[in-house]
Amino acid sequence: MFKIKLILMLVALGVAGGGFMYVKNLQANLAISEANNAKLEGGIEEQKKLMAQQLADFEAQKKIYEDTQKKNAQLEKDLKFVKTRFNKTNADGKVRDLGDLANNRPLTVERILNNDFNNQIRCNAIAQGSPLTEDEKAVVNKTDPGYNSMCPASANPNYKEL
Amino acid sequence: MKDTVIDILKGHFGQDKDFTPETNMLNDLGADDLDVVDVLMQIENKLNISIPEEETFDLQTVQQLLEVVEKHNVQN
Repeated sequence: MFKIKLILMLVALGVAGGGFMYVKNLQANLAISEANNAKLEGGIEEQKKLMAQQLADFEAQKKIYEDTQKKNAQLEKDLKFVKTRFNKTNADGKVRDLGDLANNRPLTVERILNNDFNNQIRCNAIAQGSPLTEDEKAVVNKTDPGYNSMCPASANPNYKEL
Repeated sequence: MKDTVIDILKGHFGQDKDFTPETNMLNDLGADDLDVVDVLMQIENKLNISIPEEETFDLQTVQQLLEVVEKHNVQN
């Protein structure tokens, strides 16, 4: 009888010990899981920050691209304008002969070309990032002060071309 | 004289354009300063007159053009 009691007690102790070890093991696993979870959450936050930064970089690049496209379009327009300035065709189909004009009215053509030259210097400055003046921004007509005969698309954003 | 000037303007800028005395060649007709020089040369040749350059530097309107042409047409 005593032996049976002893055996039962040992079995009970064994079960209790096993249970204790099992719970301890579960707690250890839980602690590891919690630590891993914390790491993952930290990682997610990092990823979110990274994605936000990438999005901001993308938007900045998109803006630079759009600004460049806009500037290119302006320069193309100005180039077309300058190309036709010295050999413009009138309504009768006659092509402008700058040499003929200069021979007949040299002072006037010299004044115009000097003005064009100064305007071209200003165009180069604008192309390199010089900000527009208030006069340049306000130009609507060719007779307004600040009108640039060489690059109106770049220098005079409000100019209404006929 | 006026008709000759208007004919030259129409030939240069287009028959469909309106030419009133107030018409500004630069702003209303799409002209540039070299167009004005070209028109002046055509007028000089057609009317056989000579207009001093100093008097034409700042020509903008049809009225100003007519006045300067009339002045020298009479003188000639």
